[in-house]
Amino acid sequence: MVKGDSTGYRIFIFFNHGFLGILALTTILPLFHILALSLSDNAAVVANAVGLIPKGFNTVAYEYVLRDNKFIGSMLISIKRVAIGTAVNLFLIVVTAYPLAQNENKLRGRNAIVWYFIFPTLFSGGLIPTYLLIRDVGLMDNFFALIVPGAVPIFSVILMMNYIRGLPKEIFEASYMDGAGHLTTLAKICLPLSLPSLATLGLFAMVGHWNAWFDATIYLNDIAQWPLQSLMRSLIAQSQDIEKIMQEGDMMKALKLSNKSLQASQLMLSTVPILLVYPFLQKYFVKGITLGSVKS
Amino acid sequence: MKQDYAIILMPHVIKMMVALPEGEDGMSSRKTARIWNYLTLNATLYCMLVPAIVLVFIFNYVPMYGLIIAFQDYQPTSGFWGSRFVGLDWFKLMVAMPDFKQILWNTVVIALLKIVIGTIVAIVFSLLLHEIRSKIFKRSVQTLTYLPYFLSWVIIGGIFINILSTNGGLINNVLQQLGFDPIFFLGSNTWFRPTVIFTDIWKNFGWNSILYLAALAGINEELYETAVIDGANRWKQTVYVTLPGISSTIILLACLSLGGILSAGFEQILVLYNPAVYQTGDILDTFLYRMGLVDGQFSLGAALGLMQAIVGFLLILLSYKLAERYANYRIF
Repeated sequence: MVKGDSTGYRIFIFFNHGFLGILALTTILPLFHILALSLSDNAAVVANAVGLIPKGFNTVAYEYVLRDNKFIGSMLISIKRVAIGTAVNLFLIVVTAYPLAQNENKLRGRNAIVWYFIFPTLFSGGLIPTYLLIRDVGLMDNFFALIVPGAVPIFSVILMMNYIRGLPKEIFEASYMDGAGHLTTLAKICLPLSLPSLATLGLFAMVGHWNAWFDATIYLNDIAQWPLQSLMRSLIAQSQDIEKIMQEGDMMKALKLSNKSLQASQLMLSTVPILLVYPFLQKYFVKGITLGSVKS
Repeated sequence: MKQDYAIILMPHVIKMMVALPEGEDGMSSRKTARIWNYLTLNATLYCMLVPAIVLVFIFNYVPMYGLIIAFQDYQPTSGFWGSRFVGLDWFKLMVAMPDFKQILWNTVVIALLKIVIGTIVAIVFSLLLHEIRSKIFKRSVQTLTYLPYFLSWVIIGGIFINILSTNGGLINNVLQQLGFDPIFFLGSNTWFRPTVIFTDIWKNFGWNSILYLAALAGINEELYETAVIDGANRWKQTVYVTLPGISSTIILLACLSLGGILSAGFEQILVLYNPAVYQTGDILDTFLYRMGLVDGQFSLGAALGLMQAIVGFLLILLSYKLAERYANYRIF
């Protein structure tokens, strides 16, 4: 990088570091505050004396939450959803992108099929018709209402398709020359070469499934079937209801807990999986974001 | 599974049985044989597409047909086919609703402010970050600022509801210690919109800056060297080299975001809002959800959805055309 030597620029560099440093911290400080609340003594929490450092360090809130069957149950449902949902997504991405990566002259109708997949990203039926459809198809109150409607992630399919088209054609041609059919070529040649793209799209699918909450709230009537984020959403909405706080307050007090520190630990636990995957996300997503946009 | 093997083996079986003369490109000279050969070779490919085609048809195309209930007096018992046709009645009702104009206004205002301010913040942030030379510092800042993007609005909303609370929230505590009155960030019509916009930008600015950072890295070094020779200091370099260098990216992203004007952030607002702030915070999607789903007015909800989908579609087409014209970017 070309550097100007003026004092003005030096001052700018100094403040730039400071400003960006503070900015970066503001994105993490709220999380630290919640963490501190979750590890603090109830008295301090209620007295609003907790800043960024826990006061009266204890893990009572976490112990309570982890013994709560509803919370653990929802967490397991979320994990189930992430596992099955991502597997289904990845399978459909691969199986759809590979044929579409061929050219029109190799696969008649390919262009039309690509348009067929692109159109729903421009125009959609919206909430009500989709809801009625799920109901009519019999997926209401069914775990698979969370998996099947979103099984084909069209943007990911397109990204993958472009990625495969970017692979060197000679390798594929050599494979066909050697008499390999499409399934063999896909398994032995294409997939190993597509691992970076698969990793990126897989991670996005995982994060998407972990964070999804709205669909469960409208398709599953029994809260016991809700994934974690949906349960969290209802807990937070409830806590804004004063009466609930009054009622639960007595019970909680006996356990030296306040609604606030309980909720804080629930929030932290809901965040843990994302934090765990985050280093991998970092590694892959910048490549992933530019994957599709470089192709024209 | 067995069928796949049959499909793979078929061309070889046929070749053996029929012993067709083969041309140089591996296909026989007879047309029907060629087509048959083609179909069987490619049958695998077409079969691979079947699951996705079927799923997209059921869950993406059938609901489009379902929009027909916007023109019917839909009764759950009669279904799509049996409900009475009422033409444009729902649309007339929709436009006549007292809240409709306000909700439309809320949606557009919130969406536009998010897009405009968000873009400026992302650009400024990436420009500043671009000036950092230390790779470790840069990576640390990126790591921290990208994180909120990956957390759901349930979590982020939960965090903000906590720290913005008037009953012991961190922010109001600080304000009160500084001598100010507590602010009802999420409870007053004056503060709700700014809070929504601010928290959205806070969540996304890191992620939004990725493309700008990539564009900045792509500017030719020689342009800077020429500018230095011409006596430009760093500021002048920014104005005359950097900004023009990423202008096409800026225009492209601005054009593409046009299509999202009617989507002002459904999940975020659903998590953060309450009846006290409907006046400034209720958007098309939340209104549709309450009325169409919670209250069960399916036809009215579908009418709203149809309007939104059509306008959105036109806006997206417009945005693609603009991107083509002004940023030389062809999507298709």
